[in-house]
Amino acid sequence: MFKRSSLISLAIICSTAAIAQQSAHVHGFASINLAIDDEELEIEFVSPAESIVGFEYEPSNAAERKAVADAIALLRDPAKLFVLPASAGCELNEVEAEQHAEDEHGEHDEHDDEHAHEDSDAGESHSEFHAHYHFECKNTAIETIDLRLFETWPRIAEVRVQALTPRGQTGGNIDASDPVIRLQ
Amino acid sequence: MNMLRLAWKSLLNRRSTALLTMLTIAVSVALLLGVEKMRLHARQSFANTVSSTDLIVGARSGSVQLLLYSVFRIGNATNNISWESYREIAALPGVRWAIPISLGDSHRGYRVVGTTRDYFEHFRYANKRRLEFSAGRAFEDTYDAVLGAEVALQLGYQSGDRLILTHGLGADGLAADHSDKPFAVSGILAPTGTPVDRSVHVSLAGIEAIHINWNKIETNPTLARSSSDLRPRAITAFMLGLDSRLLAFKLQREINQYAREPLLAIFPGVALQELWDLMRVGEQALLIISLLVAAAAMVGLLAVSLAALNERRREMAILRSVGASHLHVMGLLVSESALLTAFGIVLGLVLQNAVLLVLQPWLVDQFGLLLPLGLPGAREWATLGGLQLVGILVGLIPAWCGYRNSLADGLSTRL
Repeated sequence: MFKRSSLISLAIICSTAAIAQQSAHVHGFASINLAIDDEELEIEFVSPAESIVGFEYEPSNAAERKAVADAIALLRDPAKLFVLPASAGCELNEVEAEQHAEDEHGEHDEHDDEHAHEDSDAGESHSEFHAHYHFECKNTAIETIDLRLFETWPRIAEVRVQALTPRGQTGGNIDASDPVIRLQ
Repeated sequence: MNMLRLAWKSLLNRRSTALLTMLTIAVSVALLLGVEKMRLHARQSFANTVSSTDLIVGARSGSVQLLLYSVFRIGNATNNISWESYREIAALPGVRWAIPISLGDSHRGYRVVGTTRDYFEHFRYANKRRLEFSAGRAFEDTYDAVLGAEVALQLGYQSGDRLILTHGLGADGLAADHSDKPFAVSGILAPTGTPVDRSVHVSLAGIEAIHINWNKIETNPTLARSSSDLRPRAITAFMLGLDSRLLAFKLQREINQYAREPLLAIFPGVALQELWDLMRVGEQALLIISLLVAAAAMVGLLAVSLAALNERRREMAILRSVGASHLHVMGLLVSESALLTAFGIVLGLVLQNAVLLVLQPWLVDQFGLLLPLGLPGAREWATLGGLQLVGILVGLIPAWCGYRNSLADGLSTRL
């Protein structure tokens, strides 16, 4: 029991940190990481801020600040991103959503070099929205998950999915023409 | 039924052209089925090679490349990774087991894999099956080796036999032999249908022992045997099993940002999917080519039927004169075409399995592909049904021409 709960908290603490450092920042290209173990389902979502709110600089006026706040509010509702099958009986018990400025981590060297003399506040930094959802499910033999995020954020053209389930690992790119994650 | 018998007799009368047409169809069917079988089972076969491994870690390169060299033993690593990094990552919280792999040596064309006893304990293939020994047991001594089923079978080794490992991947005689340090077979693994069958497994200390002084002429095996220098310095890659899948993404990020050296952690199943996505274009090209070959075979069938029609005006006229209706004559021509297609399909099934039977050992040997014999699945039957339908439809064309001819000719044909 102790082991399980400590694992969960570990996963929750760490999972929203800097997810995108392994994948390049491409506008219109989001990613979803999905893991199922026992009765737990965890989903991470990362998208360039440009694809969500249309800009990546620090919000400079009330309208932009509102756009970011609205986006985070949307992200806190998983139904705006995906729909889990009712038969799975999943209950959301943990959700996080936030905006990350990517150049804080010193990544994207080529980008920094290019704009070495420009202030990053001048609108040259990359930023991303990260969201993280943790569900407890009655039946984790989930076969498909429908994606709604293409409707919520039409600027997202493609999503890279990585899924780890008891039946194995799978992955691939999904776009609006067939917005379904198939878990074998 | 009568119609089919008549068609059969008629075909027998023209057996050489009929046989050749049938053969053309058979070849196209065999090709079509072969491509489909390859597509379906290659995927299965590759997916079976690794099971229950959450992450594979190697030097930073491409995920597909890492997958290919670490799991399928195809190609080579760009770089090794340090033993210290391995120890540090294997000790991270959430890691249940870790299997180091050291590649780069060979024995008579088979790859030598340096690893630990954890390999036999934790490695899984197909549907979470573990490795089993058909003889002997895991290596214990530095100079023990565990053979894959095929290595033992092909080279005729048994438990206790001695073998000499080669530095590098060349055939014997081309690369440096380590004849000063013979290994003894401690065990032989049961067949798995994966690249494990084609591997020689030794301990990491064994790999170090092969390399100690290997370029010096003076040798002192006893020194190497006792020396603590046999502690490995570098390995090629390692596999990780985790306590929970929920930790996998976090651990992957941690490894990919590892400060000591550039590492790459991949999910084997996801990387395999990437590989299939890359191959999809090739698969589709193969499928289109095989469909075109089938179309060509059908055009061939039509050409042969039409060419024969002219020579058979008298036959048609006689049939009409003994009371066969137009429909009968047309039915006869359609039946012939349908029969040729049906026999072609059956012959194609036989041909495909025969070719596979001959090629199977080579495919397993070269590519680790286990393509089973047997009848095709529902999808292929549907394709074959479609082909049969085309065969019948193709028969309608000479039937129509035959009908037109018999109208024009009546009984007045002069040949």
